[in-house]
Amino acid sequence: MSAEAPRSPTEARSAPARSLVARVAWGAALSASAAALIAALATGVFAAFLVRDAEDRRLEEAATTLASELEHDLHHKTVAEIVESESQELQHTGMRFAVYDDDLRLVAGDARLLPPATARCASAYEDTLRLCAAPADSGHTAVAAAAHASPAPLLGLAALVAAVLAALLAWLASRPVSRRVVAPLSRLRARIAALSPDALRGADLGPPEQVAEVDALRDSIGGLVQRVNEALEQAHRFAANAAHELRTPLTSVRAELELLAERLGPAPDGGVFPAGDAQADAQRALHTVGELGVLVERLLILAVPQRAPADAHEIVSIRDLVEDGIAALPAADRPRVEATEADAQVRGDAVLLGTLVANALSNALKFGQVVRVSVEVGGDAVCLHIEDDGPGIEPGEHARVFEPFYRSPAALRRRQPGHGLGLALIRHIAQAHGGTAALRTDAQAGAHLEVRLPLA
Amino acid sequence: MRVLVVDDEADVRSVVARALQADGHAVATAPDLDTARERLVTGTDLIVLDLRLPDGFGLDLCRALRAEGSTVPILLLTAFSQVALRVEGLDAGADDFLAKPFAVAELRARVRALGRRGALPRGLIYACDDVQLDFAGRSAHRAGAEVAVTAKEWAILEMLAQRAGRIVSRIDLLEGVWGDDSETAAGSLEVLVSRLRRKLGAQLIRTLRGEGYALEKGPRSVR
Repeated sequence: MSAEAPRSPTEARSAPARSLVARVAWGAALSASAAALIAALATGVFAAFLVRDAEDRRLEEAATTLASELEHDLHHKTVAEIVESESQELQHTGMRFAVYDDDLRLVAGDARLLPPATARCASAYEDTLRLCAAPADSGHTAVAAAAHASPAPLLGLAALVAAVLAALLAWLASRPVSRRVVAPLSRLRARIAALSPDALRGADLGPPEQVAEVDALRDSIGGLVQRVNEALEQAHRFAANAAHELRTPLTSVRAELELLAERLGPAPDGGVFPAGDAQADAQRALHTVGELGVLVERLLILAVPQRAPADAHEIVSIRDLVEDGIAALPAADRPRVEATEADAQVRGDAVLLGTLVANALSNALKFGQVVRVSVEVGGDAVCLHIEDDGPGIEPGEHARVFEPFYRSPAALRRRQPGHGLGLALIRHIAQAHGGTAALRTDAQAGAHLEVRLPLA
Repeated sequence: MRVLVVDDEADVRSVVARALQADGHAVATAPDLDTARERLVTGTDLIVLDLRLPDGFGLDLCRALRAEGSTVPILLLTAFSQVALRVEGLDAGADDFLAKPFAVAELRARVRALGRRGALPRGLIYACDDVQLDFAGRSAHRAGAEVAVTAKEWAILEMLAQRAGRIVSRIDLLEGVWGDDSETAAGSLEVLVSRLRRKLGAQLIRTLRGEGYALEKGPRSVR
């Protein structure tokens, strides 16, 4: 498509939609970040528990040691001396000690270290001190205590850093990962986009992706394509049959009228019939039947997707088409067409391509006084330019004038005869030959039709 | 000429018969393939054959006749265009095509032209210098490159190649290709001959002023 891009639903969307990849990526990144945060918190709590457990075991061990020293050394040392020596020994650990008797009265040591009421270990002073107690056979209770090294701030920071790092990683990995997730969908989309409306029968959506959701989508799209194709084929068949059925009666009506006109004798000199002349009536009827024949012929071409096998195509010269097209015009119109002598050969259906040129010429002659036809070869295609000096076609109308039966407001105002099939037919035939037909927006004056066909 | 018109529509059959009778032909008609075979006599000069018939396709009759060695010219009434069908028709042995609905004048011209041309060469290949014409496959080559030749140009070449080396008169060409010797047809003949010279080389077709045209007798004009 050179001038006119195919209209797709994408154009109709106002705001650019977020891609599925982005959505999956965001989802994956968010859930991964949340998971990382939860894992970091859990790790922090567990670490705090482990740290306290180790501390408790150390304190318990110290308290038990003190208790056993009380049992062994009490005969030659006072309780205060034992506590003092133990404190000295473990001074580097910052541990403090206290000893209570059976009535929980302080015997020696730090008076602030109250033995835990229920469990062997407990926290005190708003969790700043950890105490553990051990009973001695002497009836005393030994208490060891140390400042509670709260792991919370450090662990919290570590957890936060870990969570942020994990989230970052998740975000970085999420795009490639989600692209991989969406890949089967992307492949399906590409294959659907490649479907041509002319080749919907047995349209190939590729092998199943072996992904349940994507394959379900693939199957339902495949079903839809087949139903659309059936409806389209039915419509084509209907139009083709209708046109075909019309041809037989048209053939006999036209021939009967011609024979009738013959019997009525030749037209008078100058071609002007006296009023009420039967010959004039027959000629008028013939003219109408002729137009009807042209209409049916055009409908038939449009109704049938024209796709001949490539080997059934003949070599056709563009210059021949143009020359024969001009030769077939009424004598008065022939001098109004200027054609260059350049030539190029294409592969195709000579009759259909002749119809294309004939329609392009008659269309241009209908709106302009002088028509210029030129042939330009570039790359692997040939461009046939048909320019007229008429009023031209509004750029806003360029897409619609190629629709069958569309007639521009300007043509209707000027009461131009026609069915609005000429340009539709031109495009239909051009596309059947792997080419395009479009109106140039840079027309110098009037309308400039450009038909592009692949070279033979 | 004795013409056999085969069409399943009575109206079409009748009007075609009358149109051809008015042009001086003796016309027999048949509504289907079976009847067509019955009414086909040895003296039949031409068959106007519809494509779709109740008991088969017109092309089936074409093939059968050609297989039996018959060279009677066949004008096929076809659906408009359809290149695949035209190629198939040529392969099956049809000589010309006319799309419904047609003008009576066109039908008469085609019938006259085909009758004039008579039995056409089948499987003829003409070669001269760097030009090669394959009439069965309808392909023309010059110096190895395929050249576009229109249907009317093929008809001219066919008549010239049949008598390569000898003169074919203008009147014969006009009647054999256009079916009439009007001024319009004469003008077209000149245009098409000069076009053929342009495409296939100026020396290929000789003009004999006031007489007609002749195709160079090639070293290999094989049938």
